[in-house]
Amino acid sequence: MKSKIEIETFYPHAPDRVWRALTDPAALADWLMENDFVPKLGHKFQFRAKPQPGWRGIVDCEVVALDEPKRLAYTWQGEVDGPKTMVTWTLEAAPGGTKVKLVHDGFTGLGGLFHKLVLGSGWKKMLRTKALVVLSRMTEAGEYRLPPNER
Amino acid sequence: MSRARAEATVFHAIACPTRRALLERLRSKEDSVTRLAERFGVSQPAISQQLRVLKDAGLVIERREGRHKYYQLSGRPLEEVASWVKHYESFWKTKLKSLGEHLDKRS
Repeated sequence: MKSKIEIETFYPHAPDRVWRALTDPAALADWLMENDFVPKLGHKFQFRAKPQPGWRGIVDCEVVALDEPKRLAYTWQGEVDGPKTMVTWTLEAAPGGTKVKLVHDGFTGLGGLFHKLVLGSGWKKMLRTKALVVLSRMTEAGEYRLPPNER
Repeated sequence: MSRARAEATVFHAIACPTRRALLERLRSKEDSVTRLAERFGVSQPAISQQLRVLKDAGLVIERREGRHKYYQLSGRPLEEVASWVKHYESFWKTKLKSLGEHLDKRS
């Protein structure tokens, strides 16, 4: 099963210029989403879009790699209870422009949980971390209380 | 069912060692309630109850044949992630195109 997105593309523009488009908040707002991005390691920020059915329109992110103008990575969490995925941009100068590689990985969720469960003892870690949040919302009778934003 | 609620059901389902053992057992092949009860050394109603929890969480599929019920592991949770990845893939393709347009218009 595919659990990773990898897309390579080419832009007829210098790496510095592409880097700016990836790291300037106004530029990001123009082609991706409204945001409060700051090119600083450890900076926590959000991408915001119009909420849709099933999505609150917010992506929580944190800058985890910053190597101008070659590599940029941030965590990407589209749902409060969802897993943290990772978005990584790699830029490489090429004749007449820049090769850009986008990798989005770390997709788990139900399938990932299932996978871990089936593969072995990974469920223990899941139960200790993410599951605790879910379980804390369960009543004695095993009924699930929805978080306020889903009621 | 929301993703959060679905996950709660799944977590509840796998919180029990017997149910995890059942999933492990059903991983390789379909099995009947009778045989599962024998293998686990418990009564049929007891094993049926555990299987119902797994079924409600979408982790196993039930098949009836005459008076017998058979269970097998479900691939649905895996499919869900696959469709999620697919959704993001088309999202990024669109956005990369927008990035190209953004770069071109500021030349």
